[in-house]
Amino acid sequence: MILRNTKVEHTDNKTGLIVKKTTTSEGEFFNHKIAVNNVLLRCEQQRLNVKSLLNNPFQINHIRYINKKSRWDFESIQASMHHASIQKRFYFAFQQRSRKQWKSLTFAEAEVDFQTLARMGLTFVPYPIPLDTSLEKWLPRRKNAISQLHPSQILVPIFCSRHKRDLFEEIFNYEFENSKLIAVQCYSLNDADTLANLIKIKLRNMMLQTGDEAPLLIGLNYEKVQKSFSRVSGSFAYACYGFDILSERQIWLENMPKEVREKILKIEPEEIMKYDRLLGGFNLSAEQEFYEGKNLTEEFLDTVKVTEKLTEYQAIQWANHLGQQEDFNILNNRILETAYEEDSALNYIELEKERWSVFWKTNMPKLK
Amino acid sequence: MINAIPKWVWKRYALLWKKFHDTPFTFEKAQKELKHLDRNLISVMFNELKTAGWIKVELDEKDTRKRVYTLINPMQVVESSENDIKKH
Repeated sequence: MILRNTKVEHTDNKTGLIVKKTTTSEGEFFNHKIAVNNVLLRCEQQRLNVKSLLNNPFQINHIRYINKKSRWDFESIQASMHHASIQKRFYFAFQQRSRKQWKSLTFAEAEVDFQTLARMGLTFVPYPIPLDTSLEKWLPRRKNAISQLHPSQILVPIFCSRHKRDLFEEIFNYEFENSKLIAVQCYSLNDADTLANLIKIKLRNMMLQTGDEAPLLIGLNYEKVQKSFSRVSGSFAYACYGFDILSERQIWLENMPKEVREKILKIEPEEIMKYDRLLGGFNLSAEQEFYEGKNLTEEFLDTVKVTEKLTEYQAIQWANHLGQQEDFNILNNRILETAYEEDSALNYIELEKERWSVFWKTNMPKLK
Repeated sequence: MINAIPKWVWKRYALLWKKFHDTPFTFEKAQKELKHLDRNLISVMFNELKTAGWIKVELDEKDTRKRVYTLINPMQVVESSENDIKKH
């Protein structure tokens, strides 16, 4: 699939949220997409012969760092890239870095990572930018990196949300005007650098007008459930800052101590967070029983056929994905409706979804 | 003037009304009733109720750092709304 361009379809002045339309060789799609990530890919691989797969143009592979071997696990790339190409999806792979790994990242290491993935034939080649990089330091590195790519390959700068905040705006704005895709590995919203940088992203994105060419902003590695923010969906929380394509942090059992791994494997359905579309956030069976008088997770699992070959955990993740994506589709429609009904998107957020409303009111700057 | 409240606020209000009716209660007592919900969410909910005129907020006579909440009777809410409509 070839990426032609991304243009602004409509900007809602009340919320600062934007609908972007991406044109590809296979057709067009709107933003606010939750990508098919590692967990969902495994679900799809198990369902392959059973039912249709997720209707989604974006697949993102979070590359694992193998703690025991102190190296990245690139082996998953070929199989996942193949799957994406059959499903006619954009494929993006990147190394999921911990905070510690970001802190110690140097250009020497970033360049090796960039070259490694470029040689693997990826169309979108990630380049992680160290935290203390200024625009001045970045430009010659960028030029050099692009010179090593095949004309069909596209460099995708990856920022860390904890980038030094006094350096971030200039370098991000430069990329905003010169890149087709920009990725940000997002860390906690309780972190001052992250908050300051995300607000700058939102502000720059909000300046777009209908018809403008714009980059697709990819939000990576955020927590699926924002436990410090009333368990609002992480995808919504980060979309508020302008991200178009979202992929939550992946957790690998292989990297965990044996005791933790065993505990996770024994987890019961009532301990798994389920997305509730009425809330716009996650809850557990106990909360569902208290407020709704029934265990919604259990009721949902009763409807999943054994032939779908998903584990209980996978079935819940699949439903969580579908629910969040459906809410994003409605949000897009409501943003488009603001062309003739100015409060449409704001009302959807503030009146119809409890957790979205609480997050919006307590974290987003008020616009007039 | 009493205004409409979002459906999600109404659901929580109904639960509090069932427990407290129009007797005063503290934030902590409300939190005990609204199980699984965090302080942040309850604060936003109270703010919505206050702005819409569905709750009365006063300072605690014994400790003025604390607030005491009293829900407005839903019948009174309906009557006020009717009066507002007639006035306009």
